[in-house]
Amino acid sequence: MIKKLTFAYFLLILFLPALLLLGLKDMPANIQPGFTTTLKIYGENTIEQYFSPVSGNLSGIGLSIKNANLLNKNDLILEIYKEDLLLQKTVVSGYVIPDGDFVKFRFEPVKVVDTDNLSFVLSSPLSTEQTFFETYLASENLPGNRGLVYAGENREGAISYVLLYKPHWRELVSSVYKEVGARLSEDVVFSFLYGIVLASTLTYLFLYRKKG
Amino acid sequence: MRLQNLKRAMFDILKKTKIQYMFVAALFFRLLLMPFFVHPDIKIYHFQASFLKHGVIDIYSYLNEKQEELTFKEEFVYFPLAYLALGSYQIVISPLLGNGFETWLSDATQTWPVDQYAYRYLFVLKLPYLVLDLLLGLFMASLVTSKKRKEAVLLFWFFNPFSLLLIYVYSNIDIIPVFLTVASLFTAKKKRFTLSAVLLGLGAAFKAYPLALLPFLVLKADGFKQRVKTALAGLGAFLIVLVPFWSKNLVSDSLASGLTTRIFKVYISLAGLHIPVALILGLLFFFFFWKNVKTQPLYRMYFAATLILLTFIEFHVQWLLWTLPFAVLLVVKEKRMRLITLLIYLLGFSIPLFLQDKSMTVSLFRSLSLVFTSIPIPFSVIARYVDPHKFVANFRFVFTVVALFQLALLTKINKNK
Repeated sequence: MIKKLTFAYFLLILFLPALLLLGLKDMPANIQPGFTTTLKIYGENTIEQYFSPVSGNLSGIGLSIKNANLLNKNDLILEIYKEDLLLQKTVVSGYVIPDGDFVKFRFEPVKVVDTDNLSFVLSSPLSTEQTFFETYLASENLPGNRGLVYAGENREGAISYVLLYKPHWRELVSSVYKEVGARLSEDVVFSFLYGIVLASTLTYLFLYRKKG
Repeated sequence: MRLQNLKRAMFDILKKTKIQYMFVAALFFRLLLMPFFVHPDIKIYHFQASFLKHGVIDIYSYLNEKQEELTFKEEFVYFPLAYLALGSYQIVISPLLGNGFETWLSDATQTWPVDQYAYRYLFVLKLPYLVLDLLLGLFMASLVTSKKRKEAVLLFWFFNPFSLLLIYVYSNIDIIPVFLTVASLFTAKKKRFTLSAVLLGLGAAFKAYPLALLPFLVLKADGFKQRVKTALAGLGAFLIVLVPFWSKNLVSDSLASGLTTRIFKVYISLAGLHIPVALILGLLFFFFFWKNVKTQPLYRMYFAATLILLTFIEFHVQWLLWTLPFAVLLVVKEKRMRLITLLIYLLGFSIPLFLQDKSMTVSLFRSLSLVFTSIPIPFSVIARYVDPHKFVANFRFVFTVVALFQLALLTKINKNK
């Protein structure tokens, strides 16, 4: 029984992370930058963010959205373009946008490469000067930022966004285990000592397995 | 009791080959867990304890004064012995961990779990917990007589998933007072009641809850004089540690903090007085055990006392460890308690999994890779179907009902000895 329990725990510790990764719908390509000021989205005040993506299956864009006092119940629309060609369009209702929440605009994955010139447009035609959405400008430059247009005028910097990609489970699992291996190899002294202790216990368990 | 006797009582069982194998197997998967899973609490309280090596004694006032400058703004919520013990351990280990250790402790960015040396730091910080956890198993095995029961105690302690998660994944300091409460049980069995009470007092100098066990230990002491001595020894040990640190900050941040006083939040109003429900239940059990002091073993009393503390409050998951050693002794000695005890733990563990807190679930894996933080938490999955807050409230209600049922079962005299 002890042998079986030990083996079960060993398998669980080893493979539970891999199983958990099955629950990952999308993977961020970057860490969301900090914020400075906000830009209001209503009527014709739209935001156009131009960017170069990371190659992969682009499946969403994450943004922090302000919806003061949850007043705005109108739709917030995000459209993705490649040059002038509309690739995807997704709509999130103001009903489900709490103030300051990180909102993921998800859509059917689109295969993109890093040489593509993409842009996304954020708009809310039915919102007004009194009831509007806001999103934040990034406090630092984003890799891949190719320009920002607000209400038809060019602006400095970029809004604070995160590109989301549909992960490939096998590649993801392999990259996680490789990451662990790489970090262990960076700390040679610890890994060596840890390995010896672990190997000693394992050797004991193997040699004296009849006792269990 | 001589140290040699204690050593013999605890370590002689390791000469038995099956137990030896069990011990090494337990060590093996504990070693596997230690460096790779992380809860942010371990870093925060070690960040706070790191000030001891810089000569800070009154951590409560220091953190309040320097709050603006520090990367972590939290108060030190534990009692002074926790600060002294963790801080002293850091004084010993810091030279081995290198210069980056202190920088890592104060790092409040999102990437600290994937630091180059994070595995080394986590392993070393959890090392005292490993020692206490393994010793605790041996301690508990020495509390039962037959070989079969010793094996059962070790099996239930070393191979239950709850203690593994609580000690090596959530990694709070609770294992230290838990160890001291079991040591108190051990010494009480040897009729060393004063020492037993001192151990409870020292446990309370980490976290307050062992004080709730003291009245039951007093009941077990022989005669009025011994009872007074036991009560004074327990309170004395607690106060001796606490008094030198006394300040308004200690009172507000730890002694009277929301965590310590949470037990008083559920009360009934009677003639303008707010009487905590846990206190009423505790008193009922005190009188029950008083009436049956000769037939009721101390582990049952300690189990009841720790379970009462959890029954009516929004407890933190690591508080489940308080009852666990006594629960193990209970299920080994009383088979009829097995199913309900398992149910209590399953319910108790389910509650935090459904909270809106990533660090209780997916973020525990972020030392492997930060991608785990992007996995949806159970809270957001449930929210698609039902109100998650109501869902958790229902779980809590069921937990309370089952806990009350088990407490009622405890009032039946155990004939299965």
